[in-house]
Amino acid sequence: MRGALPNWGLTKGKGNWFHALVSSPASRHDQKNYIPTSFFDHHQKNITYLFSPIKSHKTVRMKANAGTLTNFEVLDLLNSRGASNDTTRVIAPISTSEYTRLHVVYDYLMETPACTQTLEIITNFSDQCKYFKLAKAEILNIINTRPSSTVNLAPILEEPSERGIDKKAKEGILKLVEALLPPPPIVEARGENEEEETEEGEQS
Amino acid sequence: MFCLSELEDTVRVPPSDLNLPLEVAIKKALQKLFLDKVLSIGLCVSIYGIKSIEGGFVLPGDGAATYKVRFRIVVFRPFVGEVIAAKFKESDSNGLRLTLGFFEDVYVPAPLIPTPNRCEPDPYNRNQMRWVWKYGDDEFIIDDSCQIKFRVENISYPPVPTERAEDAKPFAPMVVTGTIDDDGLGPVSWWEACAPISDDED
Repeated sequence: MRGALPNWGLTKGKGNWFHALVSSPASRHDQKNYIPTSFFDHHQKNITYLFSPIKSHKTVRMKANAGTLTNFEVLDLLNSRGASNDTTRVIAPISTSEYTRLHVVYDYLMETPACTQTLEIITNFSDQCKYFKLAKAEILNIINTRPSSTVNLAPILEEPSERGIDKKAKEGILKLVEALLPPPPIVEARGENEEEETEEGEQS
Repeated sequence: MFCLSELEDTVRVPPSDLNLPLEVAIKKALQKLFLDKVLSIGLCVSIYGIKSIEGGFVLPGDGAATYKVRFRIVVFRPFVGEVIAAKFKESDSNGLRLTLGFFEDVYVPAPLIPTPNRCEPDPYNRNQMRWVWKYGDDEFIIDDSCQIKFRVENISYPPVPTERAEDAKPFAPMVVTGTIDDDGLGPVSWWEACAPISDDED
């Protein structure tokens, strides 16, 4: 029994398409106007004032979603804050709880395919994806999980038969994933993971 | 999984921090306010950057400076339909609980576990129940041998309870409900020919 998949509002996408930013590595996060590789948001219709549960004053939410981030971008941000350095080093501007929190998120992300990706890889990949007419949410899912087989791709695609995505298209998508996205890390002993980001995925 | 959110807030910088550079002091105050807290937009993971700072007025009777700050934060907020890999945490007769390390309130209720299935007392752990999926002639166990992929069905923010029983579970301000009832979901080892990934906890 399969539950009905939710409608993500796929068909009528509006607004910004994915725009690539070519810039120097982590320092781009310090620019005030940096817009991340922005997938169009799903929540923008809910712009209301939010009451912060911690304090009694009102926190005005300007934009609930100023851009969706792929796992890679968050990892890149954490790297620029120095989370990849070994645990004994404490960086002055970061308070202890942020440090711990960043490390926990960092450890999680290092086990996902994001740790072998670069900005060029994911912009290239999503450019190529437009031939398959995939929704932005699906592209984000594919970048984050890097499916390696049809069965891994299945929960990501919504109603593929109705949109004309047949077996051939699915194989095409998987070939693109194989060619452009580097394979995820093998999580066996975490300390032995390579932290270098590869430019091109070398498939054996 | 993560989004940027732009917020504007009034930040009070305590007098002890006024010798620090302004951005550092404001960032410190923002971290104390938002980090690790669940807002209605999600779990705040990190302050991304400050866009603008205004004000700096000192209100009467207060030694602290108050600023109106516009900034961006990184929030953890998965969208419905996102496929996420998580680790098994515990299970009981109501369903499974998965964890992402930094976020531990992912629940897979019993109806969203592939059927036919059965729940049996765990032979390795006396307090827990174990879920087993029966497919054809094979039985697949759900345990912590490898990562479990799930798809987000719903995110809810239960209201803060006014009173609870003494031994109730800690209050979870944000609950993600997931499903593993679809191709490619559930423990990764079910779908791959390669050996399951060992769960190496340091």
